[in-house]
Amino acid sequence: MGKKRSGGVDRRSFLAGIGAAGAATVAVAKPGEAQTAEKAIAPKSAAEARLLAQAETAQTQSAQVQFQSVPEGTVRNPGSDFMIDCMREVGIEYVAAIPGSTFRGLQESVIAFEGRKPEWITVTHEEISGAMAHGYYKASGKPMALMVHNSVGTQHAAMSVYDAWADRAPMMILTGNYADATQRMAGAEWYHSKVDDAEMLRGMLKYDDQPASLQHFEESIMRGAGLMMTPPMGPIFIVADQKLQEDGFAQFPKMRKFVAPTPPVADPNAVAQIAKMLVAAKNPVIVVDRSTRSQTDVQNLVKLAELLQAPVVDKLGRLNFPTNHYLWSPLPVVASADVILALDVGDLFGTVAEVADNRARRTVSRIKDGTTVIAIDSELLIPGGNYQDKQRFYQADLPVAGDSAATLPVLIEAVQRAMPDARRNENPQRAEVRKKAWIARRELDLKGAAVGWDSVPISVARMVMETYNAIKPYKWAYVSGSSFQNNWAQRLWDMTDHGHYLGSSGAAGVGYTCGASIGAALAHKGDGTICVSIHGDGDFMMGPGFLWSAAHHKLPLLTVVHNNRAWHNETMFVQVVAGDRDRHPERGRIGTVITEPNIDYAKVAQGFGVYAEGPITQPAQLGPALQRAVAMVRSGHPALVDVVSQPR
Amino acid sequence: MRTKLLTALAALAASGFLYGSVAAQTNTAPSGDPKHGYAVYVVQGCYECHGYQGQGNGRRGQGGGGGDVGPIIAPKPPAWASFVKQVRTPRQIMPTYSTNILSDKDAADIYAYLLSIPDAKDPKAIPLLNGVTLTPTGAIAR
Repeated sequence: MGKKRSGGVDRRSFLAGIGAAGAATVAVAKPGEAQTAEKAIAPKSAAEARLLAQAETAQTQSAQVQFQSVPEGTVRNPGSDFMIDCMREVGIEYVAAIPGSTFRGLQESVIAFEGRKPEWITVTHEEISGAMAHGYYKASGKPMALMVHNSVGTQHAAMSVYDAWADRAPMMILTGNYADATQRMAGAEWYHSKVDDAEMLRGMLKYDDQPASLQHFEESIMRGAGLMMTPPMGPIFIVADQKLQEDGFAQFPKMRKFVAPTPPVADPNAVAQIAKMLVAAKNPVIVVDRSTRSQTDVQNLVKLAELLQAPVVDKLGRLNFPTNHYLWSPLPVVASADVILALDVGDLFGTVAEVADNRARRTVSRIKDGTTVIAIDSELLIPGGNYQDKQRFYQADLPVAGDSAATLPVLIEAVQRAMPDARRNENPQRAEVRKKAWIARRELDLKGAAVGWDSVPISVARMVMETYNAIKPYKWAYVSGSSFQNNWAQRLWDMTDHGHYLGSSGAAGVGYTCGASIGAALAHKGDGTICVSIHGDGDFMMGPGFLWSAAHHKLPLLTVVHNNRAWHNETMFVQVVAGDRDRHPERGRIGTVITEPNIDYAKVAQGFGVYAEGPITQPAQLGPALQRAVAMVRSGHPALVDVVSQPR
Repeated sequence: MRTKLLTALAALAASGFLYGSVAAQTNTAPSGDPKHGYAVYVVQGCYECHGYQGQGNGRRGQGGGGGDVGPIIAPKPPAWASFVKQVRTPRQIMPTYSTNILSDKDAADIYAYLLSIPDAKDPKAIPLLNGVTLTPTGAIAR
C-alpha cells in the first residue's frame, strides 16, 4: 500500500490532502490483508467520512476513490487498474512486453505504481516475452504474463505460445482491442483488431475469452488462471477491451479471492492395480518426462524407484530424477522391461517404438512382445486438434488419467502395501546390478568425452565440462535444452535438483532459448543462482535482443554460445537427403551454415550492454573466460562467452 | 568369357551396384593418405555427425542417451569391411555415399585419417574429467 504514483494524483496524496494538516495518510488494505504501519485517520467532516468509508470498503487493492483538485476530464479509477488487480490476485508477479497501443491502458496501470507487483519487464520481441514466461514458470513454478499487441504482436508471439502449449507450461497472454468498431481510429487501430482475437492461437490455448465488462474480466481471469495452473497446464489468452481499459469507473466490481484448483490424482483403484503389477514385475522400468514440478516430486520419484529398484528413464522434459543416482538409465533399458510405468510421458509411442529417419519409415519396437505398458497421464484430460503435439497414439495396457506428480505419494503407499517380503529381499541384488551398470556407463562416457579433448574447434564435451567447472562452486541452473550438446550434462554432471535442468522448448521451436533463458534468470534474480544457457547460435539469432533485456533488468544469466556456425541439425538432414539421391552431400551446407561472414557474438552482446568474451577458439582459453564471465554474473550482470565449437 | 565376366563385375562394382564396392570385399584396409583423407572427411561432411576427431556423440554404437548424432569412429575405427559397408549401405541415419560421390580411394584415405588419430588421453589425466563422480547416490527404500 501507499505506492508512489509517477505523475498525476495518487490516492495517498489525495487522502493526505483531505485530511487534517499534517495528518497521516490512509492505507487501504485488501480484504483480509493486514494494514501497513500507516494508521487510518479520523474523519474531520461528514464529507470526509463518506470518502474514507468509500475507500475502506473498496473491494480491491486499487480501492477506487474520488479525486479532488484534478483537471476536468481526468480519468478516475481506470478499468485497467482493476484488471491489473485481478492479475495480481491470481499470482502474476511479472508482465513481459514490447509496448503496443492496444494495451497501453494496462501498461500504464502496471508502471504507475513503483514497487508494486506485477513488475514490468521490457523485451524486444513478443516471441521473447512468450518464451520468457515459459522459462520463468519452469524455474519458479509460478505463472507469468505477457502483453501482446493485437494481431501483429500475437502473430509474433505465436511460436513461443506453441512451445509452451506443447511443454504444458502456463502463461497468461493479454491483448487489447476496441470491440466496438465505431470507437476505432482509422489506420492502425483497424489493422490491429480482429473479430476473433484468440483465433490464431486457439489450438494451443487452454482457455480464451473476450470479456465485455470489468466483472466479466474478473471472472475470465479467475477461470483462466485456474485452468492454466491445473495439470496439464497451458497458456490462456484474455482480450482486454480498450474502452474498458481506458474508461474511468465510479465503482469497481467485487473481486473474489482466487483459490487455485487441486491437481487431478489418479483413480485409487487403478493405483492399487498398478502397484500390484509393478511389484510382480521381474524388470519394471519407470519412464518420466514432464512428470515432476518440484524437488518434493523428485524425491517422491526417487522413493518409488528405490522401493522397486527400478531403473528410471528420464526423457528430460524436466529434471525428474538425479543423474547421479544409480537407477538413472538411458532409454534402451526399456528393451529389458516386462512392465513399463510411464508417468506423464508426452510421447509414449516414441518411448516404446521408433520410426527411423529413412525412406522406409518403418516402425520398429524398442520393447519386447508381451511387455505391459502402464501410463499415468494427464494428457488424457485435454483435447488435441490441429496441432499434432500429442504424438503418435499408443494403446497402453492400462491407461490412467491423472497427474503423475500428484499421484506419486499414493502410488508409493500402494507399492509399500503390495510388496511382499520375498520381493523386498530381492532389492539388494537388483541394486548391485544397477550400480554396476551406472558406473560402467559413466566410465564409458568419460572415455568418450576425452576423445578430441584438445581439438580445435573445441569439442562439445569440453565446452560442457568447462562450463560445469565454472558454475559448480555456486548454486546453478542449466536453463537451456541439452540434446544439441549430446546431453553431456546429464551424462557427466551431478544434476540432483529439480531446478538444475528445465528441459527444452517443448515443440522444438528454434528461438525458445532466447526468451526462456532470461525468464529463468528472472525467476532466480537475487537468489544467488548462476543460470547457464548453452545456447546454439542458430537459436540465438532468432532473438538476440533478449540480451538487451538481460542487461536492462540485470539478470543473472551466463550465455555460452555453442557456436558451430550452422543450423546444424538441418545441415545433417539435408546431407542425408542428398545421399538418398546420390548427390553431393557437401552441398547440404548451402543454406544451413552461418558463415561468410562469421558472426562475432561477443560484439553483438557488447552492443546490447552485456559483458562478453570471444570468439574463443582455443580450448585452453575457455576455462579462464568462463571464470571471468561467472564473476560478472555473480556481481549481478549477465555475461556471454562465444565458443567456436564442434558441431555436436 | 572370363574376361568379359570380370569386366562386367568391375563395371558393376564401379557403379556401386554390388555389395558396396570392390573395396568392401576385403577386410584389409588399402593404404591411404591421411592428410587427403582429412580433407575429404571435412568436405564430404563426415565431421557433421562424427566430429572433426571422430568423437561423435561419445558412444560407440547406437543409443545410450548420447543425442541423435553419429557414434565414435576414432580412434580405433571399425574394421575396414564394416566401415565401407556402412559408408555404401548405411544402417540407421547416415547419408549414403556411392562411388559416384566418394571413390574407393577417397574412402581409403578417410579410413587412413581415422587410423591416424591418436588414442584419447586417459580421462584420469584430464582434471575436469578426473573430478567427475564415479560413485552414484541411491539406496534401497522400504
